[in-house]
Amino acid sequence: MIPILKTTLRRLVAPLALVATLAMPAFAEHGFLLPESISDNGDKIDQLFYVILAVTGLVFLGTEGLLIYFIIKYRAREGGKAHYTTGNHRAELIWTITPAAFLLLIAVLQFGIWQDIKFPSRMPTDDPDAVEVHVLAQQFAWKFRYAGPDRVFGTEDDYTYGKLVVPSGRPVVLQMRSVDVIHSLFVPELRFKQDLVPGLTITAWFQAREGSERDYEIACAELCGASHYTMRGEMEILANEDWEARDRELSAANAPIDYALSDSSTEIFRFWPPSEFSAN
Amino acid sequence: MNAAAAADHGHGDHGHGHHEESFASKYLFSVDHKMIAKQFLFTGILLFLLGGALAVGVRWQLAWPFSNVPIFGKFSPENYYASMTMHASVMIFLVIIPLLVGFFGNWCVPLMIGAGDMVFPRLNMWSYWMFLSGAVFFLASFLVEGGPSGGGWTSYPPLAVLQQGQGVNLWGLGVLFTGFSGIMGAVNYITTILKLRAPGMTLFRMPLVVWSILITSILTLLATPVLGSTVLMLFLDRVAGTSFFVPDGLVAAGKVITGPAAMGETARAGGGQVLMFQHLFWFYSHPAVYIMVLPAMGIVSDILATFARKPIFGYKPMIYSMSAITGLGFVVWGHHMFQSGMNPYLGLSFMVATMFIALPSAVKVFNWLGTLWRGQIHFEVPMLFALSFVGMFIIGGLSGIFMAATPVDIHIHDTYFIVAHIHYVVFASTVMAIFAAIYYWYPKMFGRMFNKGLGKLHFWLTLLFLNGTFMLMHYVGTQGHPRRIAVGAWDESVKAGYKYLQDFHWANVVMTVSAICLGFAQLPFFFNLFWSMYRGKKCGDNPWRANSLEWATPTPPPHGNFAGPVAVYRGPYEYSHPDMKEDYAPQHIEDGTPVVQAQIHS
Repeated sequence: MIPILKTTLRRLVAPLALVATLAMPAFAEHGFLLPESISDNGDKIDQLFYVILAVTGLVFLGTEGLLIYFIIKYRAREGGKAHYTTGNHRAELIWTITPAAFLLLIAVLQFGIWQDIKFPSRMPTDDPDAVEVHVLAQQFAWKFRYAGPDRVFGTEDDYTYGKLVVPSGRPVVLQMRSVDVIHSLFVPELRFKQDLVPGLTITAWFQAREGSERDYEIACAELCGASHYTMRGEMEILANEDWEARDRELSAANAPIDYALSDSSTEIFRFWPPSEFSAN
Repeated sequence: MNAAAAADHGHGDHGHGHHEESFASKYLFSVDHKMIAKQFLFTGILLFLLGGALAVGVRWQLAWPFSNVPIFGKFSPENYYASMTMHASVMIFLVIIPLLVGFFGNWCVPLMIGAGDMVFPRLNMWSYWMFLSGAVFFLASFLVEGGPSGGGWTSYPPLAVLQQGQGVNLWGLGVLFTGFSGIMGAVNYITTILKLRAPGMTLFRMPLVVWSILITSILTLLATPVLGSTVLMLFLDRVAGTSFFVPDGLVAAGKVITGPAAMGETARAGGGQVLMFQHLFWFYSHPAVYIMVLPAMGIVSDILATFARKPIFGYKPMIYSMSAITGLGFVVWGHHMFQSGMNPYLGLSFMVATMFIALPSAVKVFNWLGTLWRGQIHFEVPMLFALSFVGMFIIGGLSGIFMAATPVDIHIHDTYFIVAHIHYVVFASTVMAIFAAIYYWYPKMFGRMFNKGLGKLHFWLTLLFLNGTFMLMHYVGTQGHPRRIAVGAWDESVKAGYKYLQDFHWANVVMTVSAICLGFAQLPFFFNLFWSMYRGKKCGDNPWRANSLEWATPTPPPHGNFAGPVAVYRGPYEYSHPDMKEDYAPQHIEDGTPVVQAQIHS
């Protein structure tokens, strides 16, 4: 059993590895499998994706190759008799421990990335450079609240805008809420996705690279009702100076947020009054 | 523990083959496990048609948004979301689980352990009727105002609580009743397997099908009550004004409708936890994925051994790996919730558990390959389906590793990548195993052989078009195509969809055309199934020259199953033993020479 398995594997491994190595840069460069990535976190996610693709790709080619090889080689022949064996202890050990090692490797590889992206302790919430934006989702629209040029929420120059406008090269911290059902903010190019859950305020962050200045789309990735498919949002990334100018402009052009909770107000952010967030 | 006693159980003093039963007691309120199995089979196949039709509706909408769907007409967004929700619900609760557990469990367990019937035949009958009631609830939702639930088969609140109409209520009742059916079946299988095995049938002489049903039943028994109570809480939130999953401060039409601020105007107290539902739901629904694949693994193991004419490679490791899947299956539910707002620290522990649940599946794949190694592979129709199960399960298993990786999951969560993954596991693997099993046991069930040419046609067309449908889903998924959207690429005429998907619209069209072909590819199967029942060639008791006990019965097996007492002398996989003249040794023949068997039944 073992020697034949070994020679079969040896015959397969070299060409498979070659194909995988040749194909990999092609995938990575042209975004053949993944869309363009515009953040360092996104790049790290992509690297992990390609590592997993390489490992699973080899396993895929190896196992499917063996399957097809066995199907052809061991097809029934007139008068042939199958080899009688009920198993092999060593083979079981090998094919339990080897995948276990690979799985452990993949598990360990991703700890750091996940921690950097998701752990509250690693988020740039205290970074003086960070831009904080409040995101409020409702059926079927995204609303964004900006602190305005004074960088403090709950003041006169706060404003609400239907588009996410952020600078490149600076961390952007999102405080996210939903007022009705679960929504999920998804920007494929940022490799960013986070559910917005009614009853919770969820913090998430991203940092777009300089040079990525253009318009992007925000998708809602969680079924939120019959018009879920229309919940398309827009995001614009600007160079820092342009963004600061735009921020001042929007703050001046938009009326201040009515935090008084008056029933006549159509301002959706009145449901997220200053008493429910700490002034920063 | 005695087959003769077992044979007496459940039908008292009925004589074999001489007793005339009324139509109702024979076909409707039967307590015979084989008839109940057939009830599950035909109901399941009928509903499979419905689930398939709904899938074509969903695919049609994605390829040609808001155009005329053949027969039905133009979809509204509500139609689309109802089709999507009901496709998944029907396929999971009314087709896959009932076919695997209700049909195969019922059909195989008593026959394969040498029992005359299930230990609780009347509970068995009730299990079918509970299932049928559940199906009626699901189907009734198509008739009520507002139509079926459009909240997805996951029914996440608050959406599922806030949705108008009776659709979600009927969905909940349907889940509750099919859940009862599952629990009743599970109790019956566990007790039957532990108590009614023929003399000599030790636990480690049971075919892997029986092991898989035993393990699945334990899983069902432990997990289903959680789903039942969760759905009941959701139901109460909808009809009784409770707030298990309704938080404070929900806003509708510009007003706060839940929580202390809203009291007085409405009866909603609020204060519930939205994420709690997801935890409870996936505590069942993740194990449910294993309920949907473990019996398929058992079936495939048996079929591979029979047609490779070899003992299963690593019989005990196969059992241990199924047990490991079951154990780990209870601690991985959080991997559905990595992006849900669940504590990210918790995400890491679920990730590690999820990585390791891939291990027993890998071990099974290697053992199946080991079973084929140096075999004599006969390409009968059931074998073709079983081999394709192995090939497709590898794809479905490996794609799971991408989603188990928490950072990668950020990008591919809730995209078509996960849709591809679930369909490779549940359609390309499990449904293929169901086909394998129907073809494999067909001659025993109906006493006639199916048409092999049609069977092969069915196999090749299905294999081709299922890959045409599901393979591209990986691709659009990694490009960021969200699941559950009614319009993919930006469509100027309806002002919806995403511009970043415009380059991939061709893939949606290809998938839809392929899905329609996949539907038509089932025609040879349906024709074969019914035609061969009356016109197929008559066949002997053991056409596949297999070892397990079901082939020792007269064909088709009568009420009470076995012609006389049976005893078991060896394991189920003694194929091609060098000391034997024949390449198989039925479990019930003492000296292992199958010729003796022919004398018994002639």
